[in-house]
Amino acid sequence: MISKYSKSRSKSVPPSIRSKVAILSIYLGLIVILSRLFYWQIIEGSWLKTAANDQYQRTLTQQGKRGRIFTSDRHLLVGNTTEYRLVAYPHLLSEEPDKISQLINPIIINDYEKYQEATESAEKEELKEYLEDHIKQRLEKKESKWVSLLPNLTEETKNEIIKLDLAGLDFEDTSVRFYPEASMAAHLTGFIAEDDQGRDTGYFGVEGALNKELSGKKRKITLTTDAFGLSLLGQKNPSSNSNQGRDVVLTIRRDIQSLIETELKKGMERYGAKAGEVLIVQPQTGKILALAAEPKYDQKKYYQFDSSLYKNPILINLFEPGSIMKTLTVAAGIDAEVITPETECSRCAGPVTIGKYTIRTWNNEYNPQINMSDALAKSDNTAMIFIAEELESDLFKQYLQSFGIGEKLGVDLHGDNNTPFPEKWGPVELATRSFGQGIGTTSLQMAKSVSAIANNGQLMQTQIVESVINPDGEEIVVKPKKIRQVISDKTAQQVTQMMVHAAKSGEAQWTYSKTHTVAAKTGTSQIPADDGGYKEDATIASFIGFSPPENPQFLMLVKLIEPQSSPWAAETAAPLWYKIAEKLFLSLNIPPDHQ
Amino acid sequence: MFKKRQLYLAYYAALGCLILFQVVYTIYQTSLVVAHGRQQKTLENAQYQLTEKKQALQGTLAKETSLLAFSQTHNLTDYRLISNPIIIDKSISLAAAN
Repeated sequence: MISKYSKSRSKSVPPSIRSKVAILSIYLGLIVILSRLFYWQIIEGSWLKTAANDQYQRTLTQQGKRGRIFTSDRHLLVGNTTEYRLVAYPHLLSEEPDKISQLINPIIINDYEKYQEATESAEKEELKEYLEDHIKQRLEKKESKWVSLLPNLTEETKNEIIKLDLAGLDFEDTSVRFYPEASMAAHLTGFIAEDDQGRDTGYFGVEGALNKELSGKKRKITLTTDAFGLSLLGQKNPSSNSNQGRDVVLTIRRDIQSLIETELKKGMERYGAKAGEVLIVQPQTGKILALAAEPKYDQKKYYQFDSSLYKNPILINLFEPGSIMKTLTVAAGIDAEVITPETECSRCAGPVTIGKYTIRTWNNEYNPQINMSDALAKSDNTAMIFIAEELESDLFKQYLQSFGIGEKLGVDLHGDNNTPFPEKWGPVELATRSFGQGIGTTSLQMAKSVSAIANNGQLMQTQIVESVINPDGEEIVVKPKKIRQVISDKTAQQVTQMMVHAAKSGEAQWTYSKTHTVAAKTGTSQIPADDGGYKEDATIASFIGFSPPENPQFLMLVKLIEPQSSPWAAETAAPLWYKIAEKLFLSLNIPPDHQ
Repeated sequence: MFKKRQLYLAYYAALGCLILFQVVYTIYQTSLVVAHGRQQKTLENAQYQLTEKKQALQGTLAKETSLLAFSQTHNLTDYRLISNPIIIDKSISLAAAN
């Protein structure tokens, strides 16, 4: 039997309007959903994503610590320490400002810089009262959400205040530079100050030259957090060494640096000099073993000193080297084969007249037919003019430039640049420059040039950085670099012997070392006056030398500006040189070669 | 018919086991990666903490052994310059003598 229903189903019945409406509604619903999806995901998608990220992601900026600076014997010269700023939230204070101020003042007073520097008890008492009042006034600013009370507090002070358990007080920590050896090697290290955007930046010295290497890097860390801002998946605030700055190891030795700073200070007092410089380098490598200049400044309190003191005078200040330049003139003459140490000067019987100028020797004494070795020992200006004239200006100029006069040193110190090299080379200029007048150079350039004589004629690049240590501990050693061969090995040895003769029988022979052979030369130069010509009775006394001559372990330049006890280098700079050298022989393990 | 059904069963059982093993193995491998990642992070943090501690100790040591601190705690006039250093240029050890 066939039911009526099966009969009716077999018939093709057109859908009712109701079902059409239902299908249409479903399609419309789908279109609405799709369009909303399109709206939220495509049109509004990007900002929604950002908003969601803001809710469950937290981005922290981590500033790596600045790299440290060590001496070559691995003593810390510049390190980092954490200092704390005491801050308060006045609206959260549980005690009266008056009471809080009274409680914390005896603890923080010892970290108050002005209080530390005060010497009289009345002044100290006044500062104590001032600080108490200052803190009280700050705490009374109820309308402020945050007030700074006192910066530069130590960890001990911080812990003492925490023990008081005062609500509304807090600390903000900052990494600051500290100098365990105080102002030692200030001209080498430089200092840290804020730039115009408030970032810590290195200025002068190694801090300035290697600011990029030493600076800690900024690192952004993104954490996934829950509704309370706590990190998910057990993520902690990840710390890493990778964004720390690189440590720098200098070539200087702490004991030698300390020695020359002490002796320079004493020497300046002894000879009444306005300023002074001592520089010690290793001729074979060009490494600076120690460098000191007075007056100097304190890196930590640099702002209390005149800004002219920040520059390293040994690197920057130009001076007329005077007679120490004669070593280069003699070396050029021998290397170019226009003279030998035995050559006799045929034009040294009296003053030299060039045009309207008459050039004399320093003591107005003349030595006809003097040989070149004695001429260097007696510091004879006329013999130097003889050599320069034999060389002629082009060749002499070439030798000076080859010795690195006027040339950038390539040392990692802020302010290292080419210095002016004279362009005009007439007969008078050639004559005066042969004995170091009318030409400007720096102490470091001069030491580098004479080091070439000590180092078999090889000019080495001046070096202050021994190595750089990456945050992962990898050490990159900076190798000594030869720039060029300036003079032949033979010439270097001949000039060295001439310098030994000069040290033994020259003006400074009275102070010659009783135990060690030294190759050296004195130099007394005049100081150019602002209105042209030279200053009356004002000199720069310098003494440059190395030891032992056959295998030099050090080369030292001592320079005293305007010494008052005597204008002559033989009576000021030379004795100071030997005084330092006496201790240097012990420090560098150089055995005596005569008694 | 019965044999064919058994074969299907065996095939799907083996396939199931294989998939199950793969799932377990993948979970195990992933857990290892996660564990290693966490361990690495923990060790990196520990290394950082130790480096920080080492640097702080080096700072303290530098303060205590600085020449400045030495000159403040010692009377430097108690020390004299070595005027006649002893120079040993020959070995006098027993081993060298023999």
